[in-house]
Amino acid sequence: MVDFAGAAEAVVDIFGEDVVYESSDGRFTIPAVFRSEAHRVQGSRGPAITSKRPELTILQSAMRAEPVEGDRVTVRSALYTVASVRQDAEATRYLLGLKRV
Amino acid sequence: MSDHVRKQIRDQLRTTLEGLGLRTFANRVAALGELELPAVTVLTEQETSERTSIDGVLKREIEVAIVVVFEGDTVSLDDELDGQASRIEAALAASPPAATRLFVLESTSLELLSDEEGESWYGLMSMVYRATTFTPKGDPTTIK
Repeated sequence: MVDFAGAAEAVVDIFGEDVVYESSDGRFTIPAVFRSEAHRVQGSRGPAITSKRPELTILQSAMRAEPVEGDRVTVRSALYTVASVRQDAEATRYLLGLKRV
Repeated sequence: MSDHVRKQIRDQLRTTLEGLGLRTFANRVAALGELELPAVTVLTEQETSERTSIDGVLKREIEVAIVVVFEGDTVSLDDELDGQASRIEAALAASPPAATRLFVLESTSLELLSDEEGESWYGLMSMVYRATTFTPKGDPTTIK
């Protein structure tokens, strides 16, 4: 049987870093994997805008409660607000879309 | 040789908009970086022309789009764009491009770019003017 939880923990162990998570349950430090890929935004006129798509992967076991939109997280001294929350199919991780504050 | 009338119009608008403290591009096709915002691009997107005299004077109607892009939040973006629209409309009414005989605002559209997956919200405003000018036959650089 595949140990999805163990695999997710290993990924966070290897690629993760400490982030500060703030929700209605308080403020706490958890390990998470942060990615911020470049992407483009195109309006109806004029040149495109280059932007970033920051995402945070956190283990469900690291959370005190389910994350919700509006929670805040500090990564590498930058403050973000949680804009979207997804759960992976194995129910081991949350994938959070972030907006810069 | 002087510049084509379309370039003259773009350059004159850029000068006016830079006078408002706006970072303005008159020939921009490359993507804008976040550090370049807020920014304005001046585009001459379409032109229709017709001969108006026996000696071939061309009446040119040039669509000029002034595109303002801001980074902000969903609460204040519309207000910021409207504030810029007020300044731009007033400045261009007071000082229309010298290369035009008639320079009128035809439409304004506001667009909130819902960059759902990205880290920011962007507001984009397009102000479309119609510039009417006249040039002699075979000479698109001289204003009649």
